[in-house]
Amino acid sequence: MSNLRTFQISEGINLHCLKDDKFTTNCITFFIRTELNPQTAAKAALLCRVLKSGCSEYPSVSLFNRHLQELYGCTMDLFTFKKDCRLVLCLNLTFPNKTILLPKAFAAAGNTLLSPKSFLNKFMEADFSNAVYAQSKAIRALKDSKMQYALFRLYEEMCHDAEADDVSRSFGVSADGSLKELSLVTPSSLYSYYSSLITAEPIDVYCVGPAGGDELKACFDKIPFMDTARKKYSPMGRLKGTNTQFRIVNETNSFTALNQSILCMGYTFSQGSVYACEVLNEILNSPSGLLFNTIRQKEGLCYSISSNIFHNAKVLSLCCLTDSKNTQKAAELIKDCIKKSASCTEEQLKIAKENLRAKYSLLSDSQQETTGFLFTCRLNSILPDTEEYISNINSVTESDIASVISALKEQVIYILN
Amino acid sequence: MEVIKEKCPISGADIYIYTLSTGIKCYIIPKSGFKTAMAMAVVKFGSGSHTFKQNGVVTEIPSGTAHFIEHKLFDKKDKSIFTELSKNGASVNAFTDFAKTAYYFSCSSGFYNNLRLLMDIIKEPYFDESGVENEKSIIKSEINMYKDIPERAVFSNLTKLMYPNSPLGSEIAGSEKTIEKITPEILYACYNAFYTPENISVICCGDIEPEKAALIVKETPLSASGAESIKENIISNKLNDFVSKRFDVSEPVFNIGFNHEGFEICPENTYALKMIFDILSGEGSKLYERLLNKQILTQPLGFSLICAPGAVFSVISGRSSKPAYAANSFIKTSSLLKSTGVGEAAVKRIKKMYAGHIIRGYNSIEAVLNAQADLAVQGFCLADAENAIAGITSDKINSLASLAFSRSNAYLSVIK
Repeated sequence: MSNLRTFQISEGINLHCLKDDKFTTNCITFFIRTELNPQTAAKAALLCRVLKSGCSEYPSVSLFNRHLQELYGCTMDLFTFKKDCRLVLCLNLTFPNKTILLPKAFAAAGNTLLSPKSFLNKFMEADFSNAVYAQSKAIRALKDSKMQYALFRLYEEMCHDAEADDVSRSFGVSADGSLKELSLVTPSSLYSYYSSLITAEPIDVYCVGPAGGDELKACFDKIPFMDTARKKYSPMGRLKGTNTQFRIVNETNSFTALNQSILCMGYTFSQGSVYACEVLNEILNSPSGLLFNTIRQKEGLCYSISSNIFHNAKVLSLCCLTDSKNTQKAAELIKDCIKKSASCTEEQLKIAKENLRAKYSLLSDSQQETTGFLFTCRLNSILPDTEEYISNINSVTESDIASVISALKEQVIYILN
Repeated sequence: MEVIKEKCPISGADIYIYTLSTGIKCYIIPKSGFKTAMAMAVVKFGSGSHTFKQNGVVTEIPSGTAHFIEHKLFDKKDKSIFTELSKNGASVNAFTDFAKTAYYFSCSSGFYNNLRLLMDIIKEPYFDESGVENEKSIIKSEINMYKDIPERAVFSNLTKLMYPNSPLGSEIAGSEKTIEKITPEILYACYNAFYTPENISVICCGDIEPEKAALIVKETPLSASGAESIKENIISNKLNDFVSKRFDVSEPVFNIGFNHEGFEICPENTYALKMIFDILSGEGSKLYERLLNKQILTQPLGFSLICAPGAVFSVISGRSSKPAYAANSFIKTSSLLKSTGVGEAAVKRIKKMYAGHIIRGYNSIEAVLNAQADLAVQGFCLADAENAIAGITSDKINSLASLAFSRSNAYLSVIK
């Protein structure tokens, strides 16, 4: 990724261009970073829905989407997501590499972000009402995806203590916001949030595809972002794990019992590089990893088992779908797998590193994944270079893994029945 | 080896089609500049096949057998090919649907070695008693997982409603009851009946040499003896067109099914049908906007066309507080379209959008592989699909629109 060019458009607005001729499309992604708390989550998610309902040039959903269809089916996604303890608003456009489309796609992005339908510093009532309705459905729908819900509840349980610090509290917030916070938003308060977001938060724009940096910058310069002083964020903090005592939470699905239980386990840890964490997760989680081989293949206890490490927050979570009578056995086996990974064999370490090498060397074949990698590196102040990343992964030793494991603290076991 | 090189008119891609002396068809799509290389072995045996005939004897297959073979075929007597591929840094997986079972890998190096391993998966089975028994508990967990996913349950209820007492009305993975009936003998019998060269296609995509890949596929002998296939003839339910089940969902989830009796499966018809859906209710349609503004929908509807042995049907999926209202609005708009017809401008716009989708799809080796896998089962290639899109006219759309989505072939499944 040595050909990454970054243009500082103004203080807090940066355009990053990675030219790659093998792609048939250009992929442009705007990331607007902001604080994550229950209020901002509800507002930012709602804002995405309002902005998608049209803009001053294409003032309805059908007109706007027909315009995108004319741009060879240019896809446009606008959503929020949680990046560890931070909230990010993301606008992504992908369209075929045709000269005529580049300025039009940038114009569509600019119109969406900067020319929403509004009147007297308020969003239009009808658009706002539809967005609130849709967002309330989305918030309620979290419960419909049982695995996602169980993991959300796990994180909530890990972070909800009153004494929790800001970082811990943020980690437990849903990017969709809550119904309570949603009910407090009005067309004018949302507009005021929008105005401060678009003028005060840092914006990073990534372009990956055949278009060149100068060409992209010329198009970007036509978007009239205000040249204002934007916020600066410090690197992301660590989840402290506020629970002084380990606890088990058993919950029953509200309407009908599930056909099998969802077992989630949450740990915090205090040390270990991002590379050691990745290798540890791979030893546990890969299709040839300890969890899959032990709990699924050898014991036949489940079909689905996975682990996830959030390096910045220093959280390890595990999730296993198993018959309710097997949850205790599965939990014990998972603990055993974690213990075993501290003394992993050379072969296990080698396979984990090889899998990660393959993963990172293949990143450059996907515009979205390349964009995600570049943005993550920027957030973590890491050089955006996959070769160096792979080399650092290769340097991880068994004792690095053992060191992460030795600092693990079991926080919560959450079971949804 | 007989080879045909086809040029795709929209994406500009080349596709090499080898018909190997063994009977296997091999589709190679070179993509220079990409580090990812993928291969997929597609077997024309899915959950929609439920009988075969050998030596004059008709054998009925327990539902879930094709999927069970998919799970077990990675395991050989003294090794697991899943582990072997993983050790090479390859990512490996498989899936089963109504019409096919597919095994695939992606890798950044060692493609040709991995291709040999992929062929090893399908070339010879090893089904032993204890391995089969152990797999049953894993598959039961998979079946239970799907039961807790509303989108899976609503689809499953739809196919049960549309095609009762048929393999399409059963779960792809089977039920806890049917998989109990599966034995190593049944697995061997089905493998021998269906894993024959003429039922297999191999698709490769990446920065690879077509002939080298085709030669590896050619070298693979298959042990299956074959069987006489029995044409599935599935009759749709004429008595009942609505099913609703209680679940624990925040908003009803629905599937509208349309049985397309007599539908000729070819890329032109497939794309014309998809375009009709987009014109009627896609994100640029007036219907979608109206349903959004009335708060009947909060997100776009989904569409899929399913070509299973013995039946073709399409499914429109969504969430709504008023599913019947959404379904009726769709059918009503469709019937209006039959009388007014679709304008040239709309067809031109939608064709542009599809051309864009095709071009975008060529950025993903996996998307190319999956698209070719669906086409291969029907005997077509990506060039046929692109030619079809380029050639679709408003007349074609209008002629198909009059048959596609009407009250008489519609079914509604709801989960509340």
